[in-house]
Amino acid sequence: MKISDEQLREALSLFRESVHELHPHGAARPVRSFAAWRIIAAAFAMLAVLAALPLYRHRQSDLANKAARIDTQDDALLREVESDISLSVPPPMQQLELLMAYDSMTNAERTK
Amino acid sequence: MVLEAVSPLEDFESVVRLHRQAVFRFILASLRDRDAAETLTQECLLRAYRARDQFRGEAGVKTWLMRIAVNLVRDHQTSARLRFWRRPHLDVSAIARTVADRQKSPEAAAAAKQQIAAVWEAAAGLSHRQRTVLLLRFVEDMEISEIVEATGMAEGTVKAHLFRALQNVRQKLEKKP
Repeated sequence: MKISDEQLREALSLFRESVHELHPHGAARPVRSFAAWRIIAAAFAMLAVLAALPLYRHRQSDLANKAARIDTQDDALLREVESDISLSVPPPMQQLELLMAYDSMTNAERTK
Repeated sequence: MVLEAVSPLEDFESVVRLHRQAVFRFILASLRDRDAAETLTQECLLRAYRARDQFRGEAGVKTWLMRIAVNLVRDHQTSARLRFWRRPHLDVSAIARTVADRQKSPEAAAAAKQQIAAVWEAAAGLSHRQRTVLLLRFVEDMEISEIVEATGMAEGTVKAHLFRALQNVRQKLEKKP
């Protein structure tokens, strides 16, 4: 649709009027879009999470290793304690027990 | 008795009162960024105050201020290319509605709103020079000779930019339903 010079002048006049509506510290202050800031904040949050992930994994792996080491030590200690408990006499008296057992054997048993 | 010529910039407060709004609206219409417009208006007036001794009165005060504003807008637009995340935002539809509501009939108001939006859109798509020339001529009602002073362009260049800017506005208006 072709527009006449008159219509162009009218449009420019309306535009002029609209620009003259702009005042410093105006009451009709347009709302500023915060979309860009939200995107930047989300990007920073995402980067922070990505940066923290390897640290978190490293920490989790450390904790798992430590737990495994403690379990191994506990097992060894438990085995040691169990072996001590399973003895009929304390280790320093084991030689004496052997001698007593030898004395109580019959001759036939001794020759075997 | 010798009469000393009094510079119009002697009373700088009056200069600010008279021209601040024109400087502000030119910058805001150029950048569509209210915060930047507020800052650059202050910067423009500060620069004018500091350079007031250099004002020779060959051009009007408004033309002189507009020359500073044009340079500030150009520098801001150059540096704004690096700040790609900052999108200028001005609610043009709210401004258009204010003006359109003054029309006599609802039909005229709707047409006016469309026309205003089309010219704003066309202005946004213009080059810095074309937009500057369009705003100085049709918003600030400056003469071609004043625009020549304010922009530092040759008269022929100003006329060529104005012609192209008007062509773009016309095309945008013709595309509107």
